[in-house]
Amino acid sequence: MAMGRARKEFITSERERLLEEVPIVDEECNRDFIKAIIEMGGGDVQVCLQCGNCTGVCPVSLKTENKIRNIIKMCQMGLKEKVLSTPWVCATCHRCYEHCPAGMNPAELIVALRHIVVRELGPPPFVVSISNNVANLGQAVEISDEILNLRKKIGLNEKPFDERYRSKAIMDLKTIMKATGYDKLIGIDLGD
Amino acid sequence: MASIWVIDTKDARTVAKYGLFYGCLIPNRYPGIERSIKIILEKLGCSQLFSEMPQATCCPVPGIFYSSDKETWLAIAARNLCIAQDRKQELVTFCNGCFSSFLMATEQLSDPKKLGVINRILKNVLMKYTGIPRVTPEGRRVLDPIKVRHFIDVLYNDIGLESIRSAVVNPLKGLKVAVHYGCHYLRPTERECIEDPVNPIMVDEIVESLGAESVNYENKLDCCGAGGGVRSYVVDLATAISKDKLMNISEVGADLIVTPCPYCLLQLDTVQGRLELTHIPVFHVAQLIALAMGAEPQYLGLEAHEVQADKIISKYGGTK
Ligand code: SF4
Ligand code: SF4
Repeated sequence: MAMGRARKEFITSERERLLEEVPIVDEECNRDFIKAIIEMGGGDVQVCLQCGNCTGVCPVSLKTENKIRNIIKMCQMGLKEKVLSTPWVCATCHRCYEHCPAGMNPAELIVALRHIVVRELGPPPFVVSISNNVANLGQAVEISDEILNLRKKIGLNEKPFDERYRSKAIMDLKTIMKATGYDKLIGIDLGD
Repeated sequence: MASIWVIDTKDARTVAKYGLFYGCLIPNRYPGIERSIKIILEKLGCSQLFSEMPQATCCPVPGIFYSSDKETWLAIAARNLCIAQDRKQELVTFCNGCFSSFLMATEQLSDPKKLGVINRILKNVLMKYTGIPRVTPEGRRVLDPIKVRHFIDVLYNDIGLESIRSAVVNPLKGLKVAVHYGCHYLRPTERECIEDPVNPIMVDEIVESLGAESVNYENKLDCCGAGGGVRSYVVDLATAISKDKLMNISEVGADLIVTPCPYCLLQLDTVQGRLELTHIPVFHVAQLIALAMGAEPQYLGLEAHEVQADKIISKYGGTK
């Protein structure tokens, strides 16, 4: 079985910034941050041993200065401001979890950080637009005229869904999103 | 080609064991996959076991909903699960994202506290998630959580490679296929997975049962780069991760990439359109099986793909 080896490439020219090189001042350390992470379901970051196994298998850490172990370290120290720009740079592939000897789930930590970002800094634009699609179409992906035509051409119903079911489903989704307050959280208008 | 079937939902209650959950990308972006699924089930003679779920919505995408509000995510997922529950069906997905969303959801709903919260929300839409009632051999009544299945799992474990092999009319002899499993197929949740996450075999064996050769390559189990919002948030990063895979795949001389996930398909296909370094067509597993089972090539909906597969189609596409 032939196994090729293609050259790896690092996507930013910026030098890898190790946490150790950045002086940390006391005021930056927010002890409540760990509590907030736990509350959002991220688990206790204090159990992380800083072994770096997660980083070694992380597709994002291999390509950017966004090292998952460093993010966890910064969470342990309560460096909230520093980590809030990082959580959407994660494929949630859970490889880190598979390899963690401490039973940490870094992917879930990242999800918790996302929750905090959404609540404190607002959701990134793609979250708003896809949520809008789901609320208004019942689907994350909008269909184009070409695909409608293609559907017909290959012998499927032109519209992927029966309209009678669709409108009820969309009503249900809007009701659910209102009940959980998702519309307000994300800033989408669901009508009355 | 026999006509497309849509089973009436009332009949489906008593007949169909599986509910087909197509998700968002398949019907709205790659309808050829939907068509291929129907073709395969017809060729295998088991279409009566499957019914569509017209009431279903987006699973909802974990990279958006699970990442911003778990309660909303779980309630929407539970609403879809309730549809399968009412019809006493197993829910079959064709996308790694939908699969992991539902698998995580069924696990979380086994927590009575969470279930209570979600059912209070679902009450507003007149639904309630309980699971499917069953009587055990000892006469006890229990509620089974909805079985969430990936199509690959159903093909491999319920239908079986033998049945697939005997439905092949265009053996794909000489076709070198690079299988890309995708992260959420391998590592969906904390407790359950379909097969060994470090040594998966089912897609490879399905590909080989069609007569093709599954070629090994470095980083086979790596991420396509698109998941979790990376494709939307930092497209350069997603591209760089895909590029690594594509270079490795091209080095071993694969003719085709096959994946069980339409989102990985989207990434690996469109990235090649942008980079123009490699030109390896990307198929969903269902499209490849349909081809081998003698589907007319135009039904595979390959126009929706960026990298065209003309060579493969002209070599293997004849109906016999
Ligand atoms: S889940 Fe995120 S942090 Fe973990 S390995 Fe994957 S990309 Fe890295
Ligand atoms: S693998 Fe686990 S213990 Fe090691 S650095 Fe990562 S999170 Fe910490």
